[in-house]
Amino acid sequence: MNQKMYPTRSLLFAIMVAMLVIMAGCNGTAVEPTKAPADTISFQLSWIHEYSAASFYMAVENGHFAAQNLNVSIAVGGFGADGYIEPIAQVLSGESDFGTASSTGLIQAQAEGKKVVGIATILQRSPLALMSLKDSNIVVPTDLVGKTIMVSDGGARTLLITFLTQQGIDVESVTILPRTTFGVEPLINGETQVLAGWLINEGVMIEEAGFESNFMLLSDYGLDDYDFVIFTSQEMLDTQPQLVERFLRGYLAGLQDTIGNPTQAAKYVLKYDSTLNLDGQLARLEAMLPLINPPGTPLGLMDMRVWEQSQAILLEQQALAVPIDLTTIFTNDFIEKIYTAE
Amino acid sequence: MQNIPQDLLTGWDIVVLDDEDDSLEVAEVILLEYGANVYTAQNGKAGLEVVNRVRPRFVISDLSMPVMDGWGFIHAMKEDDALTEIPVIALTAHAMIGDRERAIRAGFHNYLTKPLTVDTFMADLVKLLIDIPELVEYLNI
Amino acid sequence: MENDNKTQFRGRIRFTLLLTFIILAIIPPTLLVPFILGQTAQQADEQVKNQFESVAELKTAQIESYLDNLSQILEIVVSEEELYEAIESLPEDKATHTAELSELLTAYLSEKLAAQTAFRELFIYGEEGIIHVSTNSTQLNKRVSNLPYFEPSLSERYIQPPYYEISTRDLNMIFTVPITNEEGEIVGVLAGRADLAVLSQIMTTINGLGETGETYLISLQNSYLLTESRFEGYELNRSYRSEGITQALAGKNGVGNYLDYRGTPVIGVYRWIPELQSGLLAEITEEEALASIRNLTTVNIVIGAVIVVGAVIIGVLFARWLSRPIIDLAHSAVAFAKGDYSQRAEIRRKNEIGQLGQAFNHMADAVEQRQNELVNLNQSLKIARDEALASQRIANENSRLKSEFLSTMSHELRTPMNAIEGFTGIMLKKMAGVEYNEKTERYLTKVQSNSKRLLGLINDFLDLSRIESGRLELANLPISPTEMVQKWRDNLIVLADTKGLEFNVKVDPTLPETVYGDEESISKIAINLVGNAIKFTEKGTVSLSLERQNDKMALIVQDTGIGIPPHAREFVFDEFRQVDQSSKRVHGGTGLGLAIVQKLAREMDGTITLQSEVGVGSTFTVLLPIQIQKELA
Repeated sequence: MNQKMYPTRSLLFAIMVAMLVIMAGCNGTAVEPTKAPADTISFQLSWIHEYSAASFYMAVENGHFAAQNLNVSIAVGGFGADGYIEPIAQVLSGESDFGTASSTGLIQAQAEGKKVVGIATILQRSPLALMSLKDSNIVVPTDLVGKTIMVSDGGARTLLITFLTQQGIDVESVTILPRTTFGVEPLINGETQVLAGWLINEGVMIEEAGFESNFMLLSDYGLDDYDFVIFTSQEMLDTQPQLVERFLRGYLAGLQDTIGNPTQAAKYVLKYDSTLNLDGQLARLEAMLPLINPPGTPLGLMDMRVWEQSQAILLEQQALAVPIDLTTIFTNDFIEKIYTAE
Repeated sequence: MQNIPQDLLTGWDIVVLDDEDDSLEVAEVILLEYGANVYTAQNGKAGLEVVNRVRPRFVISDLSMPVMDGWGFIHAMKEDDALTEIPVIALTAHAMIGDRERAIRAGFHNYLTKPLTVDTFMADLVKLLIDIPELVEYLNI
Repeated sequence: MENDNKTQFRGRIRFTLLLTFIILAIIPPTLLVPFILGQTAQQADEQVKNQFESVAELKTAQIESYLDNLSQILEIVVSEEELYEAIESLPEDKATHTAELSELLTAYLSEKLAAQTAFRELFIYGEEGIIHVSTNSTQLNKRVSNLPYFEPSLSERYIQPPYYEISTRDLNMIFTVPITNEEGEIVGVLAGRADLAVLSQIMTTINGLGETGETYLISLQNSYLLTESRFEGYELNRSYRSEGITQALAGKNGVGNYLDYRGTPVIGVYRWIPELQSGLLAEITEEEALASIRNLTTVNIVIGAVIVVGAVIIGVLFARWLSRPIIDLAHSAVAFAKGDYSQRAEIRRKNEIGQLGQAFNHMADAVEQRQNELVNLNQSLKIARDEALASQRIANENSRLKSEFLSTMSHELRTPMNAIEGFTGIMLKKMAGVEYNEKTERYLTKVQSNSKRLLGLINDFLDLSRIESGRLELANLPISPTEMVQKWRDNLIVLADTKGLEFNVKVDPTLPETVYGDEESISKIAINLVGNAIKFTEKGTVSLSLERQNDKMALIVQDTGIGIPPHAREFVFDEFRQVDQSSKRVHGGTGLGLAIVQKLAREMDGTITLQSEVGVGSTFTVLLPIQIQKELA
């Protein structure tokens, strides 16, 4: 009886072998490498959870930080219980590892002896624009003569005055009003004819209020600063350059995703603050993308000329007494290294 | 025997555990003769209390006792961080073949063979004590 | 069990036949059809690829001609006399004539702009990067120095590939031509902002691309989509990825099958257009491209299914016809095996299977006869076996009870003996302040030596009972043969001395330095053998040697004693035996020593042999396997 079993058995065996061979051909099994425990990093935003931090949410949610073996926590900025949460102070105290700040803020910090260094910029252009309602028909700089312009004190006001001077407009020929509210109501209710604000924020707000607008982007006239520079401490650069590079790699991947899919990015923003409005965040994000990604400049890379302009503004404002050495306030080394490697 | 000085164990606290009174007394008399302070108990559980209180230089424990036997006693000693360093010498009824390895595996430092005779007990004990680094410096040799 | 076998048997033979038949029927179509389909699919694939390569070629040519066209327009604008006349009229009094010149140039550019449709704006900027003249007044005074075309435009004709401008959020493409003065120095740049509707039109013309074919441009700058997708929900000004896009943006030209930016499998052609810094892709979904092949596949599957079903039906019938007589014979065999010895096969055909049936019947006759004889014999054997088993069980149980009893008794006997021994010792040593006279000492000494003898007896009992009850655990620890033998010597020399005997020990140097085993047990053997030898030797020598014999260790004890007569040699190892009962009184001892030795040797997988001559002496040889490596327990 045993003898009679053999033909069947060997036949079945042959079929099974054949099937295994076929299945083996179909299956490519990926073996997960075992990883060291992830490095935990905290990142301090300079403002509340909103579209401007979208690329960081994207890097977290889409696993780009995890791919660098980083566990990144994002700390909300803006106003806390003890006033404005200053990212430079947070990073210097070791509370956070990375943060964002403006180029002027970083220059001032270094003038005070604080060792912080910019490692990448989020926005390549300043979003500052002179906005007016369409009806006012203010389209070229000379149209500003005899108009009221509302502008916040500080850097924006200095930029405006520089702009007017550059365009050969007598500063005395315009009425400059101090800006005290965040909204665009002063423009809409006629309190001022021109409002200096961010194209990516107030520009969208005017649209949302149902008005058409004209605007002059100061960056188009060559006036720029960096409003969101990713920075860290000099100590971090010296002791853990690998970590800095990995963080930037994760961020850049998140940024690429944001450019590719702003809708997903806007949804992630709402994950961090559910009270926000999805359409509003998406509109602001889309307005922001060209500033992040203008032609001819790789993402994140910074330009010495913009830093020089930032410093000039500070000196003009007398917010800075003596020029600092700008070669130490930022470094493109990491960004360049990442692009070279790619 | 003659070479062992009478004050060999002077000032030593030693705990002896055995459930047989007579056997306990023999050990006690011999150890006393060499100057030791001898504390006795009749089972492992009572022995643990005495050891905790006295913190002796070493313990001699019979293996078969009621309530808690020698195996239970050595286990409890080794589990207790405060007592684990105290050497414990097993007292086996007659040298049962095969007991030795089992005793040492269980954590006993070594073993002595019953009966405790005056001729051999001290000589054997001294041999064992010399092998215990933490005790040898105290020996009055 | 037997029932199972029957059904499995039947199942198997039919299954085998059926399976073989089906496989033979299926293999040719299954091998051939995919091959034919593959060939056809490959041809269709090639055809589509050729078609789309032509499409890509055409679009590329159209783009190139479009770019040439625009550059030429700009060349004409910059080369016309009017422009130079206007510029030359300027220099002498720069300050007063700037506005005038500006007006002049603006008018000139506006005129040229109106004459064509390719540009939306014409403007002039200086070496410092500021727009001085423009047909669109809102552009005046803006700075182009941070735009990528600025630097190259100062030295040569340049085309700025499409980009999205920040303030307008429009797609822009800039053509530039340098303006030179008579001396050939560059004094400014004429630039034209192209109307990209034409480019878009080129790319989105989908004539001849079927239902799903499309062509589009993707810019190198973050792979933005530059011309509309044919499909809804894919906006411009977004970055898109696919294998084709990646290849094109890496500067490669080629064709392939891959997933497009929507994740749909496509056949695609990709081209790198350096002038636009963009990739051009021409794609069609595989589904559409290979639709004709799919129909062919369906037909083939239907034909294949018909063949398989036919094969199964024929296979079933064939297998049944072939297997029935075998199954019948198998039935008979199974019934026969079950014990129905009267079972015979039915002979239906005169072929090989019929012969097999006859052979089976002959065999069955013979078996039936033998079976009857066997049944009778078996019956009587069974009874005998049961009886034997029962008595063995009783014997085992007795032996176990005996061991247990011995063990308990020995323990109970030993306890008081220990006390006697202990206190006697204490008194003799005058410990604890004991005092006594000479007579007391003599009697105490007698008490002590008797209690020692009694203890020895009890201890031997205990050893023996432990071994017999199987409770002996052998250690497996390192032993140094040299040191072990030295210890034996130290222990036994006193005993030999008291009888005035010479005691020699010897260790074979070829023995390993370390062996593994139970030193306690080996020592017990040696001490018992030597003790025994000393006991039965009145004068002369007792010698002990440890030798290597092949892979074994020999423990040899030799004496010049009374010897053991041949008839006694076989029971010297029994318990309580001494050669003659009278010697017991003379020599003392328990008679357990040799029994212990033998049992221990056996426990260690060893052997013991004895050579003896009455009046000359005895030699005991214990052979133990040497363990050089510690056994992995």
